[in-house]
Amino acid sequence: MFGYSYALHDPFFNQLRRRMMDLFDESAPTHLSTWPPANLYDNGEALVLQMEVPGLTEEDLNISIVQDVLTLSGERKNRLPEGVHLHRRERPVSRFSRSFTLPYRVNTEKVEADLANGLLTVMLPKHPEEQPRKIQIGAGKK
Amino acid sequence: MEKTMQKNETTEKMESAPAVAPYMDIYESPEEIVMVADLPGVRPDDLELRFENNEISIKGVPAPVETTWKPRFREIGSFRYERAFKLPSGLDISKIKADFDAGVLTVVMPKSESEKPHTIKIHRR
Repeated sequence: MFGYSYALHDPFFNQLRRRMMDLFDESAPTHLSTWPPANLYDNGEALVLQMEVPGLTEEDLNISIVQDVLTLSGERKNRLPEGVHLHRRERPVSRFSRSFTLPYRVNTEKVEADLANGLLTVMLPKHPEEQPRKIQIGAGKK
Repeated sequence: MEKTMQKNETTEKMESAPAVAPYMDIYESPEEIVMVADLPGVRPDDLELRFENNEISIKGVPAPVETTWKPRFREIGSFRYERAFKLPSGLDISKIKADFDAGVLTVVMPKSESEKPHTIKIHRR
């Protein structure tokens, strides 16, 4: 558990892992366990997960949260018109499914997702029990 | 020359970020050449498309995130998109159409009339 989250938190490790995957995987467009790329932020009250999903609409995306695991899945259809001569084909095309272990419990009832300019932003408010709480110190009995 | 894009403080700061090439599809039909580029996170105002000396260049600056957000992990770095291609001759530059939707730029470049294939009718006697 700890080892896994350490890897997720280390941008260098992530970059390296992605490069390695690219090197070993000749069929990159159909193997997309690292797509879409994501950033995770903490704004104090909520976790903010941002993912790059250019060209996708709300209907192409599914977000589910089971306990502390968020999964984004969908399909990027990118069909070319028939009979065209292809010069370059770099944009990833595939079904994809990516899961993230969230570092906190979140209030699943209040999760909101917004899609703009090919960027998906998921706001995950922390579970009330994860919010800082002030503990009343009782006066000691005499 | 560089002044075509309206600059604000954030875009100027981002312009010092390293440039990466956006992923692109390029295909050609008898009538046109089509370029499609993934530019996620770029607002339409922060995208620049230029045609100059038979070259097409794309520049885009992704919108910065809120400074109060503390990163937990990052795969999407701070960078700007930049890519340029030499264009073949025989394109009708005046009829180029570009569309930017959901972070995807599509540029349709029609071929000049003289470059399009013509079928010649053969009359029977």
